[in-house]
Amino acid sequence: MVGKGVKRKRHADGGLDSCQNLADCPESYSLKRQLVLNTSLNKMQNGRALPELSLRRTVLIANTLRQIQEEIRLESSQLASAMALDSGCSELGSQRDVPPSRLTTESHPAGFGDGLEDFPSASDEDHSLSSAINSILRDLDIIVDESPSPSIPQDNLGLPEAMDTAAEDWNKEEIQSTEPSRPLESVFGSFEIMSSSYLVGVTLDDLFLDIDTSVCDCDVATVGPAPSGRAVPPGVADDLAKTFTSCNSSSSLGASPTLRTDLNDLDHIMEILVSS
Amino acid sequence: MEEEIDTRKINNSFLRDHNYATEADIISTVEFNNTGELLATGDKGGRVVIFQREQESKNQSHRRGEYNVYSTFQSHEPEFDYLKSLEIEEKINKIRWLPQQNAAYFLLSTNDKTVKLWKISERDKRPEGYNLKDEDGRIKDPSTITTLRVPVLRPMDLMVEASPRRVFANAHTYHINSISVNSDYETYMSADDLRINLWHLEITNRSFNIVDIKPANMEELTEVITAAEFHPHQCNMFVYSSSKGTIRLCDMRASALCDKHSKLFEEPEDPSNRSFFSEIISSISDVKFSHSGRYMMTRDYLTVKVWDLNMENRPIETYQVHEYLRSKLCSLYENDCIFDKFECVWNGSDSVIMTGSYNNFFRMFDRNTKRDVTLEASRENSKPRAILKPRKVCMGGKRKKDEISVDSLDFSKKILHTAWHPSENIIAVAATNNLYIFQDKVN
Repeated sequence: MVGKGVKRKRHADGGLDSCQNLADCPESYSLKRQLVLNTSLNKMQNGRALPELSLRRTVLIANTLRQIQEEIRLESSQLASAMALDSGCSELGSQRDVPPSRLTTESHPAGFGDGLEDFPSASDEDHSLSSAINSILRDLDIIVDESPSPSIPQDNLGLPEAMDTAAEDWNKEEIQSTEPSRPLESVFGSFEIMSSSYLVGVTLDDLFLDIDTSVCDCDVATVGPAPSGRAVPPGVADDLAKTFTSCNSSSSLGASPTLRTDLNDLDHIMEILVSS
Repeated sequence: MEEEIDTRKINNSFLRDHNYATEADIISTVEFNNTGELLATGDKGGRVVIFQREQESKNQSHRRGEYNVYSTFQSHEPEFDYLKSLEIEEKINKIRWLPQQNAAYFLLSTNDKTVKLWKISERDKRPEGYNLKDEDGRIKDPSTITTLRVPVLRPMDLMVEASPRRVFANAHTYHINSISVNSDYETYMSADDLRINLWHLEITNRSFNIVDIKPANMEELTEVITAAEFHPHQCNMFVYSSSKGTIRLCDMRASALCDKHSKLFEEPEDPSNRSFFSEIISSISDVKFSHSGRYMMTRDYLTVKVWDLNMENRPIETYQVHEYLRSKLCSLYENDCIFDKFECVWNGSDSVIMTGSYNNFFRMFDRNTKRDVTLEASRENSKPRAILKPRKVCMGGKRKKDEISVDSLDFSKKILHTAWHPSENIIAVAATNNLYIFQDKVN
């Protein structure tokens, strides 16, 4: 969102403006870099749908993130070579699987001279950061472009844990019916589709709630629990149609008018579902 | 005479002509037609409003023609892509006029996905005198009609009709940012973030892809196309700018797919100005050829640069638009203002260039005298017919009277779109949802 220019008080020191003199204080350079890093990450994570609005903005933010990441990596590798003699290498392996949620919430302490405990977290951040950027760009490809580029399956280190298992199940069904060859690591893509679909959470049962099927002696239960999501697999739809049409013909002799109209409504709805 | 007018203008003798407040919709593009008689604006609601300059009357020869509303129509409607669950905005991104070939006017307007060719025509006569219908309007029985009456054209109130003649759709996966009519007047191009397509004005179901910078692996995407334009005289040449601050000149005679540029214009980065935002502020938001075709102008976040097409390694002129923002880049990055796309325009003789800024300021640079001026487009500060006062922004320290300090600038009031009459000193400035037209003072 656009911010209005606000009159700011002059600070004697500290604040944003003091970090402008990069040559003077290397410590504030790290602070400033961290600030930019955090801002960029917030932008990437808050505006998950925004690549559709502005690809240019997303690419520019991603490039800024990569640049900072590269700088940090360079510094940490220089630090590593300086500290290679120490026996801190054993600590690296154990800290490898740090959860990626540390990335946004934790404010990285300034400078790398504090000790070894900072070093493994930096490379963890790098790894999850780069995979986060990559996954965003890859999912953009899936969502926006009709002909998605063949992508190498990446590990899921950078994915947030906030995923509905129901959404995952639906995703598996959907993806497998359309593109069986695409690996399911791109969960972000399905999350994107789910969140913007206007039929989120609608099940087949919900559509039939207002229809009184108690008068119908057809075995509706044979259809079973309907798959959640808006797409009815063609096989199930056919079964439903067959079930209801057979009901219609068998009970047409002695059926009451209400039963016939109910079944006609059902036929009509099934037609719509099957044709869509 | 022209020189005189130019220097007078730089001495800010512009006076405000009109102020049209469009209904609540933000203006997203402004464009004069090739004669300057018409001025088209597109807004965020998908509407196009066309203004026409009134004919100068004989008794008021000293008064220049004013612009009045000529036609209003809904060009694009919001759409929903059900397959991808994406909303397609109806906002008009660009309008480009076609040269006039008959009594009607033609323009191309585009939103993010679809380009449309509109025909605007006048109707001021109506045929009258048919004897085929009776007074009620019912068609008479043919056997009762005994005389042949030829209808006569009678004048009627002027009616301006806009009708869509062509719809060029389904050719862009990404958002269209530019359209440009070729000098052959038969073809035009449309550019989105990653591809540029070439169209024939008569053919809507097919377009040719002439530039494609989409990487095979989207994870490798680091650069997008930001603007594109055909050369004003050479129908085989065009340029496109990128988010990394480069401009590529391409020749369509070289190959069908112009991924290889003929020339690459890029200025080496100044190491003393390096920051985290160097790439973002180098992203080019607009590129315009000069009327002569010899130069081109690019706008990035802080500067306007003029390039000689014969020299690729650096621009021949660089103008600072709002250098005082360089120390505020971090905040501007936070509030997303750093991603604003400002446009730039040449005047008719290529001697003055103009571009917008924040706080409803816009800037003009005279290339010959090297003088520049900052003007403001706002209702409070200028009465009709008043001459615009130059504005000044002070960086820090003691603020002089009438100056504005950087921290008081209103970043929500941005002038992204401006237009200059092709031959006269008349400019149109879009300030959010207001359109300002300024004319050069005539003594």
